[in-house]
Amino acid sequence: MSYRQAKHDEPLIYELTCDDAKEIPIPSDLLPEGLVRKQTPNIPGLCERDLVRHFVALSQMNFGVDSGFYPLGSCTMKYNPKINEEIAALTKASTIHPGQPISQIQGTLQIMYELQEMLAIITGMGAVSLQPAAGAHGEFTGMLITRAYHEKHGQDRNQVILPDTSHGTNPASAAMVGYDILTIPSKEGKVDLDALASAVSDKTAAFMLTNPNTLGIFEPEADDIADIVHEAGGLMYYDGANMNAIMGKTSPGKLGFDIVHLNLHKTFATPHGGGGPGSGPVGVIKELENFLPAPVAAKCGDGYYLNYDIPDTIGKVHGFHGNWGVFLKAYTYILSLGADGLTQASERAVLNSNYLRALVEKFMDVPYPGLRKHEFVASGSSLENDVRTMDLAKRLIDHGYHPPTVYFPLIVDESMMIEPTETESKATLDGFARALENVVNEPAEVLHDAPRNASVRRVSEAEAAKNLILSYKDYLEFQGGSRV
Amino acid sequence: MAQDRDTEEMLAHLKITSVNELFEDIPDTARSELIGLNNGMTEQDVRKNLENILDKNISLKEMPSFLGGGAYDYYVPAAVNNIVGRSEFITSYTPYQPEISQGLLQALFEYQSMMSELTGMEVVNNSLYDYTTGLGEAVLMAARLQRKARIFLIPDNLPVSRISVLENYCNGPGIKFQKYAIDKSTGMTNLEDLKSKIDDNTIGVLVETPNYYGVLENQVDNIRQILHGKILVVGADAVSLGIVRPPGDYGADIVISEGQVFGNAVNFGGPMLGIMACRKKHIRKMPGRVIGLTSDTEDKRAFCMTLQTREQHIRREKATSNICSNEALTTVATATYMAYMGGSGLRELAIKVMQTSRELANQIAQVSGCQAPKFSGHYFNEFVATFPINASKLVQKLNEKGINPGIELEMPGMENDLLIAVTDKTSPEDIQKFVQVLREVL
Ligand SMILES: Cc1ncc(COP(=O)(O)O)c(C=O)c1O
Repeated sequence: MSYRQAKHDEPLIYELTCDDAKEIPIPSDLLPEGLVRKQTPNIPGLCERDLVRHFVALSQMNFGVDSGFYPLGSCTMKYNPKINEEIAALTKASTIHPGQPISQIQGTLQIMYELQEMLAIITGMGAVSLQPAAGAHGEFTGMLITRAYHEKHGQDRNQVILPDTSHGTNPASAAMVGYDILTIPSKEGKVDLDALASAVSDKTAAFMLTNPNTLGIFEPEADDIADIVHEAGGLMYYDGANMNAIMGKTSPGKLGFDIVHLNLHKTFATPHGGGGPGSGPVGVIKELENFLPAPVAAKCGDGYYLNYDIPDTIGKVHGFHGNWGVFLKAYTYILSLGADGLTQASERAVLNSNYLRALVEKFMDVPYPGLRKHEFVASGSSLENDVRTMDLAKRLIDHGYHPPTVYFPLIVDESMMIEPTETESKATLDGFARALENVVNEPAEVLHDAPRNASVRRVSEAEAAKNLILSYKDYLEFQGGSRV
Repeated sequence: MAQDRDTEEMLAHLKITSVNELFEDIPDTARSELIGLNNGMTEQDVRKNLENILDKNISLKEMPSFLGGGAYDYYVPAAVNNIVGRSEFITSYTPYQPEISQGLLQALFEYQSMMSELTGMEVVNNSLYDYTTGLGEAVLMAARLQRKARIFLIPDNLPVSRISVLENYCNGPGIKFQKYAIDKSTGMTNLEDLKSKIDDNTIGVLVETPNYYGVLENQVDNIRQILHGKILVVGADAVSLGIVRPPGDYGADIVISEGQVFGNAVNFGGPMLGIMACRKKHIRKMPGRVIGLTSDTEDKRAFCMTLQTREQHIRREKATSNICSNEALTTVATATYMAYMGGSGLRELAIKVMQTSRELANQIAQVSGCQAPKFSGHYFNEFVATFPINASKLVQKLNEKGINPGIELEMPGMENDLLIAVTDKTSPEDIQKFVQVLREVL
C-alpha cells in the first residue's frame, strides 16, 4: 500500500494574504446613483504566483484518470488522449463566436456536420443533433421529441416507462417534460417482458432503457422489448451511457430504438472536467428527423451551413449550438480510432470487464449469472461486522484507486459498480483485484476508519447537510456562532 | 490500447479463444458494423487533418469583432489556462467521493463564495449548462416556490431562441409565458405595462440587466415593490457586477448569469457556465449541485457535495432537476479568474469596458445617418445602434472590409439595427477601424 495523496492544509482563497484590496472609485459620469455598486466586491485578488501555488496545491489533492485507475461504473472513465486537448485549444477552434457569418466558420460547421454523420453511423440512427450539453440534457431533448411526435399524431400519451435499473436522470428528464413515470421491476437483472407487456397501453409515450443495462448485462430480448413498445404505439428511447460496450457490434438502431443520446464525455474520451462540461448528442430514426432541435449543421456542395429549416422542430434546448469545445475532442478521438479502433475499444472494454469480474467474484458476490459487457456490479451484502460497501470504497482510496460507483443501480443490495474501460492494462486490473480482495478481508475497524492516505479522513456529509456552510461568509458566521 | 499479450492472457484466464465469445449474447440478427467510418489514423495525421479543417475558420483574432449577444471574447490570462489545464482537474469525475476529490471541492466552494459576493446573493450552486438553460431552470424553480400560479412574465425583447429554450424547459409543468413591454425609447422595462400584467396567477418576472438590448434596468427597486411576494428572477451580466448594483441588493430571489466571460474562451458558444444564485431560504427548491464545508473524522476542515436529496440520483422523477453532469471545469476557470482579478480588478475591468463601449457609441454616432446608442437607458458593454441602411446588408459590407460589426436583431422595426459589443480586447485601433470602414460603406 504505497499510495499517499498530498495532504496540504491549503487555506481558502479568502484566508490567503492578497494584494491590498484597493477601493476603486467609479468615474462619476459613468452610472447614475441608483445603478452603482457602492463597494468593490469582496473578492480577494492574489498575485499570479500565489494563485498558481494555491490551485496547484488543490489539484494535488484531486484524483483524475491521469492519477490512476478510476473504475467508476456507468461513467466510462477511460484515458483521454492529449491530442484532443491540444486541438480544442487552437485559436482557430476556441476563438470563434456563434454570431460569425457562416463563411467565417466553415471549419467548425464541417466538423459538426461530420461528427453528426459519424455518430449517426455509430448509433445506427438517421440524423443527429449536437445541441444538448450533457447526457441528461440529451434525455430531456429526446423526451421533448417524443412529446412533439405524439402531439403531431394527435395522441395523448402521458406515461414513460422505465426499468428499476435505470439511471436517475431518466425519470427526472421525462418528468421535466411533463410525463408520469411508471417504473417496472426487473427479472433476474433484465427487463421483465411480462411486466412490460402489462405496463404498456395507449398512454405509453416511450420506454427508456440502456442496453447493456446498468448491471452490464445485454438485454437478450431486445427485439421483443421493441415490439411490445412499438405495438402499443410508444417510442423506444436509448440511454447511450453504455455505448462503450457495443460499438461495431450492434447499435441502438439495430436494436429497435428510435431515439438515442450519447455521452461524448464517456464513450468518446472527452475528459469529464470534475463534473463537466459534457456533451449529449441526440440521434433519431429517419421518421423523427423533422423533430430535432434546430439548427443542425448541413452540407451544400462543398460548403456547410446551419439548417434552421426543420419542419416540426422542437426548437432550441441550449443558448447556442451546444458544447463545441467537447465536439472537437470527440471528433479528434473518432478520427484517431476509426471504425477498427472503436470496435477494438468495445472489445477490450468488454474483455477487461469480464476478466476483472472473474477475479472479483472469487471473493465478492456478483449477482446474476452470464456474460457482462463493459461493466459489472458486485455486492457487499454478505460483508460482516457492520462493514458496508462504502467502507470498501473508502479503503480502496488508501490503495491508490478511485472507488467504483457505489449504491447504484438500486436493485443490487450494497452495490459496487465496476467499469474498468478498455484503456487499462491487465496488470492494473490484477493489482486492483488484489487490492479489493485485501480490503474485503481487512478488519472492520480498519475499514470503518478509512481512508487514511487521502488528503482528509472520512468526510462527514451529515454535518455538511446540517450546517449548510456554502460560502466563506457562511463559514465566518458559523465560526462566530455555534462553533467556538 | 494495451498490448495483445494482455488480451491473450485474459482470454486464457476466461477459458475462451476469442473476444467474440464475449459478444455471443448479442443475437446475429442484431449485429451491425461501423460501415462508412474510416479506419484510424496516426496522431500526426489527425493533427494535420484537423488543422486543415480548422484553417477554414476565421478566428476573432484575425478580424476586429463586436459580437456579443450572450457570448463575449474577454482576455483569458495565461495563469487561468494553466490552472484549468491541470489534468488532475480535467480528468476527474464529479466528486462523489469527497476524500479523494478535496482539491476540486475546495475550488468549487471558493467559486460559490466569490460568486455569492459578486451577486450579493446568499447561495450559489455549482453550475448549470449556460445562461439560457439557467433561465429555464430559474423559472421552474420559481414555479416550485409559487405552486398555485402558472404565468411567468418575460421582457418582449427576449430573442426567439431564448424563448424557445424557456418554453421547452417550462411546458412540462404547464407554465405559460406572457411578455411585458420594453420601452421603445429608454430600452428599459415599461413599468405600467408590467404592473398591468401582474395578478394572482403570476409566478414572477424575469428582469434582465443589461437586457438583450444592452440596457441596464434602472427601476429595479420599483419592480421589486410592485411584485410584492412574487419571484424576481434577475438575469445579470457578470462583468457588469464589478460596478453595477448586485441583484442581492434589491431583493432578487434568483439570479442567473453567464460565467463564460470570466476566464473562458468563446468556443462558439459552448462550453458556457450557467451561474445560479438564490436566497438561502429557497435552497431546497434549487436545482444543481452545491458544495458544503464540513469536517473529517479528525475534525479537519473538508468539503463535500451536499443537499443531494434534491438531485436526480436520489429523488429520481421528484428531483428539482435532471441535471447531472454540469460545467465544473468552466466553474474552476471562473473561480481562478475571479481570484486573479480580485474585487478591484473586476471593478477596473468593468470601468474599462464601459468606457470603451461609450467611446465606440460616440464614434458611431458621429457618422452621418447613424444613431448610437438607440436607447436612452444606460448601457454597459453592449448597445443597439441604428444605421441608415438595412443591417444585414451593412454586416455583409463590413465583413468584406474585415470587421464583424455586431449581431442583427430579429424584432420587427429593427431591420436597420445592430447589437454591438465590446470587451477588454477591443482596442482603440479596432474602434477606429470600425468607424473608418463604416464611413467607407455608407
Ligand atoms: C446510465 C446513465 N444515464 C445518464 C447519465 C447522465 O449523463 P450526464 O451526467 O451527462 O447528464 C449517466 C451519467 O451520469 C449515466 O450513467
